[in-house]
Amino acid sequence: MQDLLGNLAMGFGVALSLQNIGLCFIGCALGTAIGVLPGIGPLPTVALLLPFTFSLDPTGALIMLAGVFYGAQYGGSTTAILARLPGETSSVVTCLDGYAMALKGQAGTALALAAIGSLLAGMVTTLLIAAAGPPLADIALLFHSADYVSVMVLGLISAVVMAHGSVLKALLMILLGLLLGSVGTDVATGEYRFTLGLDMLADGIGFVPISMGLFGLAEIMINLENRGGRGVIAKAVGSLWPPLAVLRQALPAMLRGTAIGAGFGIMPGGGPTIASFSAYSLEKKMAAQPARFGHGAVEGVAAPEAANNAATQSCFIPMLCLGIPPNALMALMVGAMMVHGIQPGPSIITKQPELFWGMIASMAVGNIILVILNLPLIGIWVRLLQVPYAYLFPAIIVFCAVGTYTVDNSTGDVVLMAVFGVLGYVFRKLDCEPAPLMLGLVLGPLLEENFRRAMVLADGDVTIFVTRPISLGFLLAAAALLAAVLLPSIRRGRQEAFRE
Amino acid sequence: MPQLNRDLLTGLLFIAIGGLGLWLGASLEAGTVGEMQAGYYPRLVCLLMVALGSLVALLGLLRQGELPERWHWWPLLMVAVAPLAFALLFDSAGFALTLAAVALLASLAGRMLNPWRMLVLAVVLVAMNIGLFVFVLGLPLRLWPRI
Amino acid sequence: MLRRNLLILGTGLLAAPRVHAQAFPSAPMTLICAWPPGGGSDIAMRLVAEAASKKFGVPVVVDNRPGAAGAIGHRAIATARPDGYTFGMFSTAGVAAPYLNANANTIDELEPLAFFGSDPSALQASTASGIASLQDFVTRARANPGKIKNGNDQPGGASFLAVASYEKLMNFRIQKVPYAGYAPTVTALLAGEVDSATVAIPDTIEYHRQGKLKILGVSSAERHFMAPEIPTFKEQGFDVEVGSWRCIAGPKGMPEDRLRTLRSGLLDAMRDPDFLAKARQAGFTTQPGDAATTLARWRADDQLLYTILDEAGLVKARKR
Repeated sequence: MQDLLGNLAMGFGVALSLQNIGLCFIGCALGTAIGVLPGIGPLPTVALLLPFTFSLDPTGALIMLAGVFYGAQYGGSTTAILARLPGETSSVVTCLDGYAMALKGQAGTALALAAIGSLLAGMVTTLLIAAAGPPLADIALLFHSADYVSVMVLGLISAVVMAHGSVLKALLMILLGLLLGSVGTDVATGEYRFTLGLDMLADGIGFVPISMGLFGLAEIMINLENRGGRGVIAKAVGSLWPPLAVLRQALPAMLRGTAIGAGFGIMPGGGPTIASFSAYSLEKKMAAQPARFGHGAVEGVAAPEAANNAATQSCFIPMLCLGIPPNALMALMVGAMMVHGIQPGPSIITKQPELFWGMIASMAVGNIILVILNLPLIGIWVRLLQVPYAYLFPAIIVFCAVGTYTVDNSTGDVVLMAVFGVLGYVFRKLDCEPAPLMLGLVLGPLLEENFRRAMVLADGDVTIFVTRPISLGFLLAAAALLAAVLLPSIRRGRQEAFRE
Repeated sequence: MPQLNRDLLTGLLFIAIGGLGLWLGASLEAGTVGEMQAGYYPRLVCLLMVALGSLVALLGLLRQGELPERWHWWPLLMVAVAPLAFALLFDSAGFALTLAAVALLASLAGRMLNPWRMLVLAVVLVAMNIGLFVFVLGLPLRLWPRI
Repeated sequence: MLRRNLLILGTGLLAAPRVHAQAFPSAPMTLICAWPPGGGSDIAMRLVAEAASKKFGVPVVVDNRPGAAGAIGHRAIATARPDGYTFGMFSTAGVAAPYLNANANTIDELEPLAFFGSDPSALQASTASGIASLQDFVTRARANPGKIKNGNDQPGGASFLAVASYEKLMNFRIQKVPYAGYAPTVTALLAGEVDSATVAIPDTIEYHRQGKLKILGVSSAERHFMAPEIPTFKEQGFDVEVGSWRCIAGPKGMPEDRLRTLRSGLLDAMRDPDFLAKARQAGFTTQPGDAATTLARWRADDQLLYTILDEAGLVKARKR
C-alpha cells in the first residue's frame, strides 16, 4: 500500500508537469475531435502523430498518444446519440438507447451519462492498473488461439441478446457481418475473395461506409416516411444534468460496465467493441423490464459507455506490464516505445518507473480533462437538435458523404454507403437489426484468423475448443446465454401454437 | 395456405445472400480443417446462413406473420441518390458544386421546403463544409470544376 | 487522406521546405510502406522519411498500405506515377511474393533506389518447451519431423522465409504456424502456444534476459549489437547466415535526372549520423548501400528463395 501510494505520487509528479499536462490535453482534444467526426478513427491518427513524438521525451509522447485513444472513445458517442451515427466501432451500441433518448428530448441527459460513465470507468480502471497491473497482465498469457475463438463466439452471441426482435434474425445478421468481414485479400494466402474484380474491395470493406449507411442513412429514410414526410419533430430539451433518480439508476450499470470492460480489455482480441456489446447485453438480461431497452433505457447508455472506456484503459495493462499489445493500437504504442529505444517487456516497470507510473497517472488526469472538455460541449450539441428536421437531415447526409469520402479519398466508399443505406432500410422493414451485423464485421477477421490457427495447432481436431478449460468456460457461457434468450421465445411460440 | 410475411421474406433474402456467397466463392479452394485455405471459412459462414435462413423461412411459412409495412419509395430513392451524386460528380465538378447538388437532392427527399429555402440551405451547407473540411482541417479538396 | 494531409502539414513544419520553381523535388514526396503502422518496417520507414525530408528539403510522408503480405503496397509503388515523388519500401518478402501470389509484382517491375540494411534472423524457444540450445533444437526437430511448432509470419513473410531457410540449410522439418506480425508471435511464445519462433532480436531480448523465453542463436556473421550475449549459429556449429533486408524502390520509368537525385539523396540521408544513431537505438542493423548493391541483393535472393519455396511446394505462381 505504501508502495502504491509512493508510486502513484511519483506518477502524478510526472503527469502533472506543465509539458505533460499540455500534451495530455492536446491528445484528449484531438481524440475527441476525431471521435466526433465520422470516419477517421484513432488508429490512423496515432500513426500520423508518431513522427511528431520523435522529438519529445518518451513519457510525454506516450501520454499524448494514449490521450488520442481514449479521447476518441469519448467523442465517438456524441454523434451516436445525436444522429444515430456511430463514430467509432465501440459506440455502435450507444446508438440504440442513446438515440432513443435523444428522440425523447433527453439528448443532454444521455450525453452527460456517457461522460460520467466514462469518467467513473476511467478512474476505477486507472486504480486497478496501479494496484494490480502486473498480475492481471499475466492473464493475457493464459490465452491460446482456441480460447480467443471462444471469446469471440461469446461476444457474437451477446449481440443476439441485445437485439429485441427474433433471435434467429440476429444470428443471420451476425453471419452476414462475418461474411462481409471476409471480403478482400485473404491474409493467410494472399488470394482475393469476393472482390468482384474491383480494386477498392481488395483491402476489404471498411467499417465507416457500412455503419454510415446502415445506421445514419437508413434512419433518415425511416424518419422521412413517418408523418407524411415531415420527419421527426425535436422535442423540447430538458435539463442537461441528469436528475438524481436517473443517476441512481445508472450508477450500478456503470459499475457493472466498468467491470466487464476492464476484463475484456485485458484479454487479447477483446477490446472496447466487444466490451460495450457485452455490457449492454448483461444490462438487458438483468433488467426487470427488458422491453425498455431500445427505447431509451438509461442503463443502455451508461453501461456500454463505461465498458468501452474501461476496456480502452485496461488494454494498456498487458502492453505496459508485459510489452505485449492486445490490439493494433497498442501495437502502435509499442512501436512508439521502440522508436525511443525502450525495449518492450516486463522490465519497463523496474527500468522506467517514471514512464510506467507517469502514464498511469496521466490516464486519471486525461479523464478529468475530457470531462471538463466535454460537459460544456453538451449544451452546444443539444442545441443542434433543435434545428428543424427539414434542415437537419440534408446536413447529416452531406456530412456522411464527405466524412466517408475523406477516410480513404475514395468515391467508391460513398457508393458503398448509399448501397448499405438501402440495405439498412430493407432490414428495418424486415425487423432485422443492424448492430449484430456490425459486431460480426469487426470481429470476423479476428475470428477467422484465430480459428484457422487453432486448427493448424490442433491438427484439425475441433475438440480443442472443449478440452481447453478457458475455451470451454467461454463456450458454456455463450451456450447459457443463447439458451436464456431462446427458451422464452420457444415457450412463447408454443403458446401461440396452442392458441391457434 | 402459405402467406408472404416478414419472416418468410427474411429467410428467402438470407438464403439468396448465402447462395450468392457460395456461388461467388466457388473458385476458392477450401482445404481441410487442419489446413484451411481461403475458401473454407467463407463457405462455412454461407452454409450456416443458408441453413438458418431456411429455418426462418420455414417458421415464416408455419406461423402467420405480418407483411412489412408499406414502403415509401421517394425518401428511399432520394436519400440513396444524394450520396451517389457525390460519387459521380466529385471528380469533375469539384467540392463546392458537388455539395450543392447533394444538399439539393437530399432536401428533395423530405418534400418539406420550398425551393427558395432549399437553395439557402444548400448555400449554408456548402459554406459550412468548406469551412470545416477545407479551412479548418486543411484537406486538399479541389473546390471548383477543372476547366 | 485526412491523415496524409495532416502529416504533410506536420512534417512540413518540421522540415521547413524550401520550394523552388522547377527544381526536383519541389513538392511533398510519398514513401509507401506495405506494412501496418507500429511494426518494424513502419518505424524504419518513418526514420528514413524523417532523414530524407531533411535531405530533400520537402516533406516525405509515410503512407501505410498494408495487406496481402506486402503485395498491396508493392503494387502501389510499381503503379505510381514515375515522376520521382512516390517510392516505397521493398524487402525480402517482396522478392518471394510473386511465387506465392499471382497478383504480386516481381522485381523486374520495380526500380532499385537505395539499400537500408539487413536484420539478422534469430531463433527463440519457449521456456515450456525445455529446448536448451540450438543443437538440442535441431536434434529434436530431426528426430520428430513436424512436431515442433514454430510461430512465424504468414507464408512469404520475412520470418516465414527465415524459418524455411533454416529448414533447408540445416536439414530439419518443423510445423510453421502463421501469426499476424511479431507482437502476437512473441505473445504466443510467452504463452507456450508455440515451442519456437523466428522473430528479430530487438523484439525478444528483454524477455530473454528476464528468463521468459530463450534465444537460441542469431544467424548472422557477427553477434547482434543489442544482444552481445547471444551466440551466432556459426559459433554453435551451423554455418548458416539468414536475414531479412529492407530497401527503397520506385516505379519503373522515372526520368534519368530525377532517378539520380533520388538515389544519391536517399543514400546520403541514410548515411546521416543522426539517422544512423536513431536507427540503432530502435534496434535496426543499418548498412546503407547504393542501387547496384540493392539490385545484386534482389537477384541473389530471387534465386535462393525460389529454390526454397519450390522445394517446400509453395510455388503457386510463375513456376520456372
